[in-house]
Amino acid sequence: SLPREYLTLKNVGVELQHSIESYLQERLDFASKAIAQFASKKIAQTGDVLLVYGYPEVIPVVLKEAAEQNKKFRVIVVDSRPLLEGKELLLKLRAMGLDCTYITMNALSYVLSQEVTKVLLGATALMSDGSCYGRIGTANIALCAAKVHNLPVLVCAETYKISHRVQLESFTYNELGNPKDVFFDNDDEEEESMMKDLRVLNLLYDLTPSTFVTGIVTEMGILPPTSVAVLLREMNPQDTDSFYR
Amino acid sequence: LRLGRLVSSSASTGSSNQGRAGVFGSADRLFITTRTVELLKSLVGSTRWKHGAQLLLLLRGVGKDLYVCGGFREPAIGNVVRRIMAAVREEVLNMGTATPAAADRPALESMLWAQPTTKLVHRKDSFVEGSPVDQHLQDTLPAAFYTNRPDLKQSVMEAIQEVMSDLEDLHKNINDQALSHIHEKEVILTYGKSKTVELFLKAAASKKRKFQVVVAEVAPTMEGHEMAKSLARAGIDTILINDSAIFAAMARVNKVLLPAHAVLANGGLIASSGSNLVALAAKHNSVPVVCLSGIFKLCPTFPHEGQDTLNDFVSPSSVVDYSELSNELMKDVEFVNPVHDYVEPELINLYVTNAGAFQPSYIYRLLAENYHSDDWESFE
Repeated sequence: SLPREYLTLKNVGVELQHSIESYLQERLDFASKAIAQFASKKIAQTGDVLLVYGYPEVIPVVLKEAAEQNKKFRVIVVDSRPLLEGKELLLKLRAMGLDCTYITMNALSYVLSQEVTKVLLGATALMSDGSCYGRIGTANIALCAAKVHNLPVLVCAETYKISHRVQLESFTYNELGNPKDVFFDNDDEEEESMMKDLRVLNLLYDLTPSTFVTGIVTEMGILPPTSVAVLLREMNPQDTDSFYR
Repeated sequence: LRLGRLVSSSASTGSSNQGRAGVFGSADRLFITTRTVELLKSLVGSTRWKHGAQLLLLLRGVGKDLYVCGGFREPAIGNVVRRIMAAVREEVLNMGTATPAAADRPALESMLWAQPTTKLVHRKDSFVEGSPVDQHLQDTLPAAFYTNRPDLKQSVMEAIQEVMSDLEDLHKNINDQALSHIHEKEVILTYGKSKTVELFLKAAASKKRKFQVVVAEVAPTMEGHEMAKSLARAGIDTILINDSAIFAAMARVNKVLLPAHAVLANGGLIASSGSNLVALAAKHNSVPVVCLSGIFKLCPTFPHEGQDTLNDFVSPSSVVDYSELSNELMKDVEFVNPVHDYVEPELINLYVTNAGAFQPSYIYRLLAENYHSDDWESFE
């Protein structure tokens, strides 16, 4: 808190800029490097087969760190329509020289039963009960890996993604994408009228229940999902006063 | 690239029994099965065989030939050959006695105390010196199979006709059960394109039930799109979703309808790749999973190979475009594109078939009723 005489508009502006820059550096840049450190420690020196999905920004950072530590592992990239983000991740990982396999979501059961040892996922937001709000399809992967094959599922997320909200399932709060990305039938116009009974749902996010998540990798370390609420309070002490007023 | 058995049998894609079929799934499987029965009917009718044992040998030989020609992709072909062999065995054994065939269904008790009818044959040793099949059959067939009976042909043809009419009435028998499984205002999720499921849903809709269907698009074949269009044309409220939205959508679904590629002896299901995800999501949300299948898809196989049971890989061209492979970075990437998934029997709640509705734990009984245990071996 600044002394009264210091509070000119210009000074406050400068302070705000510094604050924003340090937030960017600490909570975003430094955070992903720290996450890479923690997560790469969990990757075995040889023999790991990692499953990743979509294109969370932190995943290539994690894998690059592990590769720099001379760890020998394979990556299986799962992709899904319509966004096909997995392809971009695939190209980025291949550019790093990693051994990659590329599959679509339907082959997930098959591949998980074969050789996968760990699953690395990203998240868009972390709910305060530890469930992860992420790209649509993340829940499918966590379910199959954790429930059937008892594989460790690590969700890599920076602490700025932690939200005080709680969501119980995917429909209550979501975002819709362009339905034409899923299904676009440009055949004949008369079909359009007959198609009044056909609706297309293009959900962009889904909720992974906390029971499927083994650990959440943040810049503070690897935490169980139940600790997310604690972390929320720790990282945002300024919010707690106003929250309980 | 993982290449499946598709490579070695590429020459046989012109086999007549494939008809107008595509490689997997897109074929009209009922059509293929009916044609197989017709083929067997004409074979049985036109060839000269003296007694039951010769007929069984003939059928077994045909079964092996059909398997080699592409029957490994279509388990229904082998099943229907086994069905007819079982019918032949029944007819031969019944010819001596006056009691009708239906009364000869083995009761649970008599099955418990029955002597084993199969003898262990060391196939690996004996394949050089004549077919181990002959030896196997000759050792175990009772004398009734070797007596020449002129009226046997007639009864066998009748039995084959019965199998044929079973296949013709397949959809009608399944659709008769539609109203007991689909209720008002239900949201039903279906995965994969299937004529059986389509007709089932259309039958319920025609009886004025109002319900919604959520169809998953099933990348990379995109067969869900066809299914959704067909259902929408029939006036059913349809919602098309991506495969990735299956877990998310399951929270709002009341029932899951899965089509079958094959039903295994332990009650497990072989269905389109991705069906296991659907079944798992349904189990998590306590949504009942109902599988629609004809009895002709029931195979006397156990899932010893796990996810590889009755499975194969197809070209990854549907996963990634050929043009993209010109990119240097894509050169050493492995692509996996399996066709089917194995779903455990614990994840399935009910099998709705043309012979009625059964739980997965009852499937072994259907096996005993439809096929003879001596014919269970695969035709490989």
